[in-house]
Amino acid sequence: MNRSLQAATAPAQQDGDVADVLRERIARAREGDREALGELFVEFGDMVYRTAYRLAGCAADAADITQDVFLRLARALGGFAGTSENFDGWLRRVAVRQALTHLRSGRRRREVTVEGVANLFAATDDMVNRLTIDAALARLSDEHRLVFLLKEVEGYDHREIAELLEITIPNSEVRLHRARRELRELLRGSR
Amino acid sequence: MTRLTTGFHPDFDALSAHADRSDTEAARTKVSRHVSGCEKCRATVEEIRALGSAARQSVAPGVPAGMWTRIEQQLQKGEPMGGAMTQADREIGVDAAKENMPRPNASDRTAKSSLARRSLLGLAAFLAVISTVLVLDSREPLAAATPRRLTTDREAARPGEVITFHYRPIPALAGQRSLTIWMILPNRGMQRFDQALERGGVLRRVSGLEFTGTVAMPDSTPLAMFIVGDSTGDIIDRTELRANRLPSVVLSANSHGQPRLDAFVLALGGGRGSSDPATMTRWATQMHDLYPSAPETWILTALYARRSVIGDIVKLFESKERQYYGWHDRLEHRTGLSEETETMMATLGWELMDTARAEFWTTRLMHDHPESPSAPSLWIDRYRDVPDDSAALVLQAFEPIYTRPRQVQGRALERALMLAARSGDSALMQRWHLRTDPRNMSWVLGSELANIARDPVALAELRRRLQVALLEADSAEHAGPTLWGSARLFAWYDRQRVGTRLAALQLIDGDAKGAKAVLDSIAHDMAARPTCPMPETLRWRAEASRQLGLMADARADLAYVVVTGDWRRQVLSDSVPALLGPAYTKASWDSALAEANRLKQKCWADSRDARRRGGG
Repeated sequence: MNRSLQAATAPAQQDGDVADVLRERIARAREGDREALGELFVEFGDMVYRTAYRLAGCAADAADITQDVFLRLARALGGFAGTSENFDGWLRRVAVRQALTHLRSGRRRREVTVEGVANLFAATDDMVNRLTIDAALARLSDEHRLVFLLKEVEGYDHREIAELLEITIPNSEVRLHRARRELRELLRGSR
Repeated sequence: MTRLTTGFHPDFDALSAHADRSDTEAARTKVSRHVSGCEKCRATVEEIRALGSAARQSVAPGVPAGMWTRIEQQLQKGEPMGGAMTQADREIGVDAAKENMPRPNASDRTAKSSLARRSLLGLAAFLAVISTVLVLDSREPLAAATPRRLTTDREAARPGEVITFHYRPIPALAGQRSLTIWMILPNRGMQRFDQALERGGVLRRVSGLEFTGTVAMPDSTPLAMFIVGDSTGDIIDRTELRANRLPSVVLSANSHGQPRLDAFVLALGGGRGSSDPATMTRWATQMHDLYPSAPETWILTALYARRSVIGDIVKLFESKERQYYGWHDRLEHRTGLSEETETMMATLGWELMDTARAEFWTTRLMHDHPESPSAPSLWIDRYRDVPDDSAALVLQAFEPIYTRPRQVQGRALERALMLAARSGDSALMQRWHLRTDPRNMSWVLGSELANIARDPVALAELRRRLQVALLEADSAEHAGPTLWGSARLFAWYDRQRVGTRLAALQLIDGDAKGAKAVLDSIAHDMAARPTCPMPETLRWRAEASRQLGLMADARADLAYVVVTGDWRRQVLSDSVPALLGPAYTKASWDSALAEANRLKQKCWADSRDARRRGGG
C-alpha cells in the first residue's frame, strides 16, 4: 500500500518541479530568507533531528544540535556547491559534523529520560524481551556507538570516520568490531 | 582488522571485517573459504550484518513540536543568518560540501547483493529486522515518537461513522482559514490516483496552529487513508509520504466496532516492508486476537509476530519454513480459500524456495482466482531460471495468460521482458518492450522503427494501447479536483505525447499528409500555451514534411530538435545532410539553428514567467 501509494502520489514528471522548488528555497535561504529556512526545516528538520538523535542518543542534545544546524544553515549554505538533488546528503553530513562538534564541546546535557530508564531495566525483564537495538546502542560507550552508527547507518567508510573522529583507520576498525561484539552480547543476553 | 585465530574458526573481529569486506584480499579469501563451509560462522556473519540492518531500520523520533518556534526566536534575537561564513559555519558546512555527490548509504549498498542472497538471506534478514524492531510492546507508541500532523480519535470506524481529525499545518497551509481532508480509497485501484481519491470533509481552524474537522467513514472500502490539502488540492501536506510512512489510516469496522478481516489483510499485506513497523505490529496483534482461525491471520501475523530479539537467523528461517509446511498441510485440501490466502501461500513458497509448494499454490490461484492480478507474476516467476533456449517457449505459454482481461503487475512484464532478452529473438524482445510501457521513449528511436513496422502484432497492440492511453489522458485532464495542481498539465502533456505517437504510426502506415495535419495541430496547441514544443512532435513532423517534400519545414523542425539536445544524437546519427538532401546547405542549416535557438530561449523564458506567476 505504501509503495503503491507513493508511486501514485509522486508521478515521475513531478521530480523536475520538486527539484526546482527546492533549488529556489536553497537560494532564498542562502540569502537569509527566514521563510525559506522555515520551509527547509519543515522538509528536512526530521532528518536532521533523527541523525542528531542517533548520534547523541539524547533528545535534549538532538534538539540543541538541530537548532545549531538551522541557525547556521544560511551561512553554511555559502559552502554548498551541489545541486538540489544532493542537498539531502549534504545536510545530513552537516548534521553529523554538528553533532560531533556538539559531543566534543562538553555542552552535552546527559539528560535521563523516562524511556531511557525503562530501557536500562528492560534487559532484566524476563517476561518480555524488550531490549531493542536502540536500547543496546544506548548502552555502548560514545566512542563505540559513534563508529557503529557512522559506519552502518550514515554509510561513512573507515577513512572518513577516522578523519571525522580524529582517530586512526585501524582504531576505527577496532571500535567497530568491539561495538558489534558488545551489541551482539547485549542483545543475546537479553533473551 | 584481519586477524585470524590459529583455531578452526576465524575470531569475531575477522568475521566482522569479513562482514563488511574491509579485510585484506588474502584474509578475505581465507575467511570466505571457511565461512562458505561453516554454518556457525556464516550465521555469525549474517548476524553482524543484521545488526547494521536493524540499526538502519530503527525508528528515531522526529523533531519535537515547537522546535521551529525556538529557532525563530533565536534568529530574531540576532543569531547568524546570511552574510559571511564564520569558522564554525565552515566547520559544519564546508567540509561536508567538499563531497557534494550523494552518498550511497549502507542500505543502498546492501541492495546490490545477489539474487540468491536476496531470496534466502533477504528473508532471513527481513525476519531478523522485523524481530528486532518489533520487540517493542505493541501498545508502546513507537510511531507516536514522530508526531503526526494529522491525528484521529480512532483507528477503526463503521461505514458512515463520524471520525474526528486534528491537524497541525505545514507552513504552506498555515495561512488558510479552512482546509480539505482528502480520502484515498485503495479498493478503487491505485493505478490512477484520481480514481482512488475523494473529498472527505473540511478542517476548520480552532486556534493559531490547530485545525479540526470530521469525516464520515466511506462505505464498501476495507480502509481509507487521509491526507490534508487546500480546497483545490493544489497544496498538499506530503510530510508522511516524504518520511516514507503510511498516511493516517482508518480501518473499516464491523457492527461491533472492531476492524474487519479484509481491512487487516489489505493493511498488513499491502504495507509489508513499510517503515512504520509499530503500526503494523499493532494491527497484527489485533488481527490475531480478533480472527485467530482465519488462514490470512496465520500467515500475516507470523510475518509481523513479536519475536525474540536478534539472534540465530538461520533458526528463524527454519522456523518460518516449518510454519509454512504446517499451513500447507492444513490448507491443501480446504476449498473456498480467499485470493489473498492463496497468493500469500504461493509468494511465501517462492521466498522460501520451496518450489513444489510454490507451484502448487500458484496453480491453485490460477484455477480458483483466474482474475487475480498476482497470478501472472507468480506463474512466470517459476520460469525465471529456465535455459535461454527455452525462454521463447515460456513466453509462448505465457501469451494467453497475459492477454486475459485483467490488470497485469509490472513485475510480470519485467520478467517477461527479461526472458525475451534471453531468448535472443528481437521480435519477441520488441513486443515485450512495447508492452512494458507504450509511452516510453525508446520505441520511437530510429533503430527500432523498422522492427515495429515489421511486426504487425506489435504494431496493432501498440496502436490499441496508445488509443487507451489517449482516452485516459483525456479523462485525467478533464477530471475533477486532483491532489496535485500540476496533474492536469501533466495529463495534457501526456495527451500531446500519446497523440504524437499515434500520428507517428499513421506516418508509418504511409499517411504522411494525415500525420502532418495531426502533428501540426499538436504543435499549434502547444504554441498556445506557455510551454515549449515537444522535440518528439517536431521530429516526427520533420519526417512527415520530408516525405511531403516540404524541406524548409523539415529543416526548421530538425534544427529545433538538435538545439534542445533531446534526440540530438538520433538526428545527428541520421545525418541532417542526408535527411534534407539538396535542401541542405551549411548557411541555411546554421540560420535554422540560430532561429531554433531563439525560439527555445523565448519559450523557456515564457514558461518560467508563467510558473512564477502561478506561484511556482
